[in-house]
Amino acid sequence: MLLLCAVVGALVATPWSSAWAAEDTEEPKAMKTEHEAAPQQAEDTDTAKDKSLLTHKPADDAVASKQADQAFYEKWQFWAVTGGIVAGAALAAVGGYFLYHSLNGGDVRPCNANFLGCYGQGNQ
Amino acid sequence: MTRVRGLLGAAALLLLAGGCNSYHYFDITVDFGSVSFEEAGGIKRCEVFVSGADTDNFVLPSTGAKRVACPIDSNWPELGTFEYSTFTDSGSLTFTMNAYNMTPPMDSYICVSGATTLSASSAITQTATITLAQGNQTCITP
Repeated sequence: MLLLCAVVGALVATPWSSAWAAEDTEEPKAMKTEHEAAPQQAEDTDTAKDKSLLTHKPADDAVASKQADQAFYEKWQFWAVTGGIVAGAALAAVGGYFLYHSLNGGDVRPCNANFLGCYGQGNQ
Repeated sequence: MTRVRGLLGAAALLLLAGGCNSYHYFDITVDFGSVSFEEAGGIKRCEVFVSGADTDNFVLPSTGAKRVACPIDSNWPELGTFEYSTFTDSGSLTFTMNAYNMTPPMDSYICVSGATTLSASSAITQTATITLAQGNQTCITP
């Protein structure tokens, strides 16, 4: 019996015993919000003031150089002008035809159904 | 501005090249006059000749046409009216109609004829009548 009491006492007295660990007196650290955890991403005050972003980069120069090197038929201006010329020519041709036709008397009037027939200019 | 002048110049050239034509119409009615129904019934072919300020000739419709003229159907004592259109607006136009008693049409086959002359003018439509008269030979052929 004395031996049993000695063993129990030794267990309680040891620092790694569960009885000793249960007595954790350390206070928990304060929790930080997500906003407080990443203040740099939310504010981002440096970007607008960074003038270097507005300057030409080698990539911009490459794009500009590629545009300058385009063949004339690859530019939309070429096709716009060409389309305008073609459309204008077509309109001029059609308008010219009708103008010429009109200047040459236009269409002869319809033949009266009671007539034996209509002859002469415009009827042949 | 230069382009507008160019377009105006082109339009002027087109006007000068094309002229300004307008149709003038002559509605000619053919009347048998003193030609009898029997004589008119013997006509085989009718041909009109235009002379003067314009020159043309055409055959009035025969059997099978929408309106039959020669040989006549029931169109007697008036054969009917034909219209002739032309750009001519000056000078005189003579319309002569010959009726033949045989085909092909030859002067020797003319049995009835008539003519009328009009002065071409700016008038759009003019009307006249050809009154036919019996020729030297009969239209009635055996």
